[in-house]
Amino acid sequence: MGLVSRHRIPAFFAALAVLLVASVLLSLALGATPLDLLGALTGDAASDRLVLMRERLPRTLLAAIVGASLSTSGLVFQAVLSNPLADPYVIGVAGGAALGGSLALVLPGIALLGHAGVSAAAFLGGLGAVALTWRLSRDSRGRMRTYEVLLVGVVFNTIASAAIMFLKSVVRAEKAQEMLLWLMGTLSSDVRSPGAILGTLAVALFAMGLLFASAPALNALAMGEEDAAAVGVDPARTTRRVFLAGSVLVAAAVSVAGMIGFVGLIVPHAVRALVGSDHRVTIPGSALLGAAFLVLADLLTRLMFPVFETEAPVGVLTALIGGPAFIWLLKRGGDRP
Amino acid sequence: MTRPTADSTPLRLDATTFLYPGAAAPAVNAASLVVAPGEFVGLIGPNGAGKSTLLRLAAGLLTPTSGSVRTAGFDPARSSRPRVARTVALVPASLAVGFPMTVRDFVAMGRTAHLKGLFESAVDRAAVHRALETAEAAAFADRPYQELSAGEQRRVLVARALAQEPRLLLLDEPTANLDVAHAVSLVYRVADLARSQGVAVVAAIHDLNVALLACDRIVLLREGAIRAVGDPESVMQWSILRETFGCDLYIGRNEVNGRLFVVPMGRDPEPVTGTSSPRRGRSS
Repeated sequence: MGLVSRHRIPAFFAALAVLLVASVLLSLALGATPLDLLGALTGDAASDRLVLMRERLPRTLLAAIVGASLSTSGLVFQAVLSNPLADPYVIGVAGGAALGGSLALVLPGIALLGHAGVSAAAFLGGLGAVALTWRLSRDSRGRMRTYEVLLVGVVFNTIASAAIMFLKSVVRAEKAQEMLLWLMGTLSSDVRSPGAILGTLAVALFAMGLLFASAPALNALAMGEEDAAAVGVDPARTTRRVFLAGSVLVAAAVSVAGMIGFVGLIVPHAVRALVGSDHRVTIPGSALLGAAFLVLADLLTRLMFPVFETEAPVGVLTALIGGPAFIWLLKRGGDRP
Repeated sequence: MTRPTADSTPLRLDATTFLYPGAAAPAVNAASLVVAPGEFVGLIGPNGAGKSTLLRLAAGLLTPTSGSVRTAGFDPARSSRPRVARTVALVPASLAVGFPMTVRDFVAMGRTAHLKGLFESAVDRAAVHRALETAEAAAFADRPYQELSAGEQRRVLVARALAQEPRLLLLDEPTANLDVAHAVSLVYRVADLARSQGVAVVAAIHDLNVALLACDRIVLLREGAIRAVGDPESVMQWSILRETFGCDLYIGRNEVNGRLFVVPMGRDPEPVTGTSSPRRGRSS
């Protein structure tokens, strides 16, 4: 049902794995200044080793985790909301995380904790928004009404962005600039502690594992709620689990990297165009492709640094590269559905 | 969840009543029915008689307002969905699917409740293969479901239900949109399956002649209540059908095979006498 025929699926995963490894190696070796990777690892180039371990490796890992999280959550939101335009930010969790992070940036108490405090506040803000959305969009029998999830999400995001605007307008100019950079989405922030990165990785792997385990149920849900129930899937439970796991992924991604756009919208579509709509294939496929895509996009922002003497937000690049690539794929896929 | 009791009767309805929220009259009203293994029961009745609602109650998709439903001894509305799906399969009247999907993948959905892990085992694939063969859908197994005709989609829906390997097979209008050859072939294949494997079949059927061909028993519904139950010869009587459908029908006997057949007589010149006139209601 995609450009890649069924018996080539293992080859597809092998290609994705190679792509991810190659992206990671390029991202580690290249940048504003090229590194001697071998030398850094064997200890011959001490300063290179320092840049690698302190700067490049954490940043590359972060890009891979965030890319995988955004792509996977976008994929499952598109499935449970039956809406191809859904992305990780349609539901309220993004607004909540953005508001939490912004508050942390401007409130003196939390700002003392440094970037870890901002990330923690953003994560909590995201989870708070999930709880709110969940409460507001349940019917009397405890089932989530997907159109209300969307409505509540849109309204909540609007309220959150108004609150953020307000914060921006009342704080000092340099604080406002800091907020703006964070909100545009960046992997150059100073989340560099191994603890923060491994924590994010653990949360993301757990949530992705939960989603992967729900893949057969998600496949059945594509037939509609009643038919999913008829073949043995509890639609309410599946929707709830997928919504929660996806929200945790978004909250984790936003809390460490702000709002990086477009990855979560186009990677799932690209994967579906390539391999069809079986979630047992598209969930790991989106995770791998999303990770590679964001690692490469982030590498490009660093390579462009000497040209523009500033780092373009990675979210801008994901849209500039991803958009045309997506349209090309869509047209190819459209010829051979 | 209680263990299956000694009662292995595929379907037992006891004074089952269901009222849609806000509706004035129940869609199914105090229906009692026992279906034995291997039996093919046809539900007939006018639009809105409660046929689809009765099937959805038996599938556990609706919870009865009063009375009880038991499938193989358990309550399908209050049991885990995988457990119900391994016992009861429902063929819906029609189905549109959001994402492109091959027929084989679609039929494999019927194995969801049987999966041991995330992927189909050889046992699952064999069950899908048999289901495709039985429902005469194997020829287009690798085509996209969306591109099939309505009649072909119907056969795929039947195949999905067969892949569940149920003990109770519920069909909502299985022969709608099927050409005469495929309609006859499908009901005979389902009837053979019922007899050879002891699967109980309950099918809502609009075409009275199709019902006459395959059913061991006919249940006639009107306004949610069971008005008549019995073998086809006893239910398909002119007075019963005329009163139920509010339309004049000719019931004859086919000289070739000795079976009854029913044809409409066209516009009824006189008002139908009976307890009530034809009624429009919820589409079944």
